[in-house]
Amino acid sequence: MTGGAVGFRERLQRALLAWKVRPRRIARHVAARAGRPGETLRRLDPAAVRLGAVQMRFEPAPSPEDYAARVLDLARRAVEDGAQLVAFPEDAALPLLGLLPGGVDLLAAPDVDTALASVGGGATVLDVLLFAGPAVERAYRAVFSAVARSLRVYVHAGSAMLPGRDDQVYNVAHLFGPDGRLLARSRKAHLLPLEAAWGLVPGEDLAVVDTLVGRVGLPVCMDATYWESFRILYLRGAEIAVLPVANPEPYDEWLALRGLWPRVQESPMYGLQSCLVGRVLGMTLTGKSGIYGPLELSPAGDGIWARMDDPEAEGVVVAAVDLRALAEHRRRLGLDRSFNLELYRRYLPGVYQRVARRMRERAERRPRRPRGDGRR
Amino acid sequence: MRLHRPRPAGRKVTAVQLAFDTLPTLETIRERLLLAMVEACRERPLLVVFPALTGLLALHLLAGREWRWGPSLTEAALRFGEAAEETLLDWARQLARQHDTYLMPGTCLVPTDEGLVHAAYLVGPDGQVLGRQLQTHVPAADAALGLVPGHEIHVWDVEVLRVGIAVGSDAWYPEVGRIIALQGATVMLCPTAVPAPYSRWRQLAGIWQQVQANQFFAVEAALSGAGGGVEFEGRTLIAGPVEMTGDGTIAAVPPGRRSQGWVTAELDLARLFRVRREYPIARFFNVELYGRVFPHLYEARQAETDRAREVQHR
Repeated sequence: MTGGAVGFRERLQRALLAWKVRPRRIARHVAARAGRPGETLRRLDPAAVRLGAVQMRFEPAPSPEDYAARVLDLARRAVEDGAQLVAFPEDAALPLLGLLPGGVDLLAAPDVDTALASVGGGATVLDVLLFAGPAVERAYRAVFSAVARSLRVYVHAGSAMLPGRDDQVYNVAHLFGPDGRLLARSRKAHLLPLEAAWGLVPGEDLAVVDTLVGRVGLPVCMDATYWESFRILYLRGAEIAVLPVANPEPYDEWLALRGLWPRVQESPMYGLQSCLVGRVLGMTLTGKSGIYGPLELSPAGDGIWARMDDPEAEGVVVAAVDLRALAEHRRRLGLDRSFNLELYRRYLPGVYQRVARRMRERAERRPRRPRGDGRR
Repeated sequence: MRLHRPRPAGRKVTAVQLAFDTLPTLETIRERLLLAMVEACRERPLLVVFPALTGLLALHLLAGREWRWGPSLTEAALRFGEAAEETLLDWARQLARQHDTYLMPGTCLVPTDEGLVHAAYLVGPDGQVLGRQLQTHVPAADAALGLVPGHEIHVWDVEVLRVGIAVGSDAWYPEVGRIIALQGATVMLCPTAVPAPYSRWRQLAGIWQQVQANQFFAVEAALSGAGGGVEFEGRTLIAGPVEMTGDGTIAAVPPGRRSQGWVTAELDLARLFRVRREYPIARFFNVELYGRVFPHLYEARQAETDRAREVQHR
């Protein structure tokens, strides 16, 4: 086949995909299924902000309508439990690759290499994400916007691996308002080794946005391995960090404990974690979605408000958090006054820059080593 | 007296859990420390770490009166803190020499022109004081005592180990562990004195998580007992990355209000470096982001807090 024919076929496939994910059709579908709008935002009380974490099982989406129905059902369960802000997991858009021709089979492959081989032409993960990106983004945004509008709540749509205008692929978190408007996007600033190996690039900032239920920060998964992310959110006034997670390893309580939980102790705020679970491309995704916060404010003194028991099951947990108590706790701790500016001026960011320089020099001197595995 | 045996060349470290007591004479305090040191050196470690506030053991004797946690401690430390430091360091030099080991003898509250500083020390096997690390972050509870922060974070080479010290509350500030780690440390020493009751969660939120975030070892020596009207309870802990240890614990002394003891562990540097290679946290620092926001964001936040406080006071 000639290059022109390949180009034509690709354009045609893109056009078909775009047609398949028409936002108005998706919105109509969601509105028809949604029933009565939620009323959880009618009464606002900073002492009882209700957060809902959705633990979603990965299932390829054969159509945008199927995907929308699943998202709506899960969000509605949280809203029925009173949630005012509902959060979905990292890579929540991944099932939408099922919309590609042969996409459901592609996602059922036993591993990434087999999936790519089935695409043929030496395709890489990045190629697939770049090709599918525009249609996936269209469907993803249409679904979550419609769900937020229909249920009249804030919906954190988890994250999606999407191309930017620079044709680089980022892992991007999205927050929708109760009117369905996109309020904020934030690119994952610390990548998983696996994502870096696939060719994704990190974002350059971490968004914080004001909502009726508090000031919300938007880190993504691996960002919680780095205290710096949460310090930045704290310093920008975040009261709630919403952390979408897709952790490709068997569940281990101790490994899990080094993510969101310690971060909301060091930089006091509430944390809402939503995990993608299930199996995809040979990887087992696990996690315990939940609502976390400072030890001193938590009902049992353990920093946990509510948490899924099963790290592999789909489900929803909802809990109320008290923003006034958080403000008082922060004031009592005196954290802001205790920051040592003279120390930071002396060491930050120089210590990082020196280490980065040393690593670059070492990498230039040595032949390339294999990167680390997919754990976070 | 020097014990005539060659210094061990290994990487064994010992953490001591000590009960604070109001003892009647300087000699009894010295004996208490000596006994603890003899026990701690049974397995001939390279380095021994004592808990925080050991320098206060002698304060009531030097001041000639009891002190209570609060203004009376501040006053006693301002007047006699220097003498307490000298006393502790004299004992520490002797103990390190006698046992031919590196020693972190605990901490003192020492007066300076600006206020009290909370200082930890590292003493070499020849009795030389190799350095002093000040607590760099002063939360509200410590500020009430008149504590002021230090502004430098040091690391020292203790033969094959590179160590830094997080003094007292610094163990709960992630900035401290990161700066220590990025200066090449493989071990963070943490002398602590935490009021009772012991909270497993609070320990996990402090030293434990700094170990996981920075992929180094930590040696936390915790104070128990009671002093100045405050009861202390901690769990002395030698910690490492969960990839090496399962739950992050290499060795620990159980917590208890009067609990004393010690733990020794060999720190496996080869395994530590393997963990760093296989899970390369440092490779994914977002240096560009940090360069753009640090330290300005801290400055902005502090200015905002000060403004809010001024408005409230008006």
